[in-house]
Amino acid sequence: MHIPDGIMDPVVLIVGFGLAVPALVLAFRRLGQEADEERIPFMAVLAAGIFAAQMLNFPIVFGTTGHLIGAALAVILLGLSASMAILTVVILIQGFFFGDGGLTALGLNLLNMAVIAPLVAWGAQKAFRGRAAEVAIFTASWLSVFLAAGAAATELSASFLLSSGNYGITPLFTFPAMLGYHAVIGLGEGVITVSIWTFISRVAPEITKARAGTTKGAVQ
Amino acid sequence: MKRRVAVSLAAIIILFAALLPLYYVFSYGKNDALQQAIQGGNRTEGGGGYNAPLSYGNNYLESLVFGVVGILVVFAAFYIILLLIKRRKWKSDE
Repeated sequence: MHIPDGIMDPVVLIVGFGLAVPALVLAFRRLGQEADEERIPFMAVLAAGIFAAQMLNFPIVFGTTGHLIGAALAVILLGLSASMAILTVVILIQGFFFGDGGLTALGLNLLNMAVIAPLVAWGAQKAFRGRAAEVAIFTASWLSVFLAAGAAATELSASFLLSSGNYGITPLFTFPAMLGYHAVIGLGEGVITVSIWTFISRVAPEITKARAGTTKGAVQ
Repeated sequence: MKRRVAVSLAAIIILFAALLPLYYVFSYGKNDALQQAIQGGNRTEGGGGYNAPLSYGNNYLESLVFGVVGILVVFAAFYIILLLIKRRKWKSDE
């Protein structure tokens, strides 16, 4: 879900930077104040793992593929600020080192995957407080992908409307396409996230217990 | 702690190497959902004037090498950034 260069209206690109940068500055600042230095290596490992997972696209329907975002996984294991910081570093490395996602669209990619997806996952977990951990994690994962895709569809549509069709894609096409595909990709995200959570609960229960509290074993 | 981090990174690289063939069998060369939407909307990606130094590769070996480089770069970048932020905070606290 990395938006390339040349697709979006310049106004939408600027709005993307304008919304993403303050949110991420706050996230890094909060993480710097709260993060236990001993946990930083673990956060860095998770960032590396999410980068690797995002390289491994999996097939969905009609010859299309999708990949893990990882925002919900990071929220579940490390909290909102850490998730936003991790996704920021991953997206910056992908953009600058691998050309994955346009640099002019960096603000929008950060907004969708490093701000909206973690916020949605975090909010969904709060909303599902008291449910079984697996249900909360799966739902948070699915919603984070679906609503991040909805944000991307909104940006594509806004670009189309603002530029009188010179940029973006008509909302009549982009919303069904983006939401339809990502409804399926979200299922993959949910299954992968729950699987990793279950695995970590078994091999390193102290990590998941540290996050326990509101969802019968998950979520802060 | 250091040993555990090293083991975790090694596990990620081994898992990545093990799953990469599945990517080449099932997903390589296929559009992701956003690319599919862009193509369906009759748009083409425009050049941003920036050429990234690396790519994800076009065969198993290339992707493995670039993937491992990416994994290590992301790990190092995140670690260094967070340490710098922590130190900056400590200085401001003094």
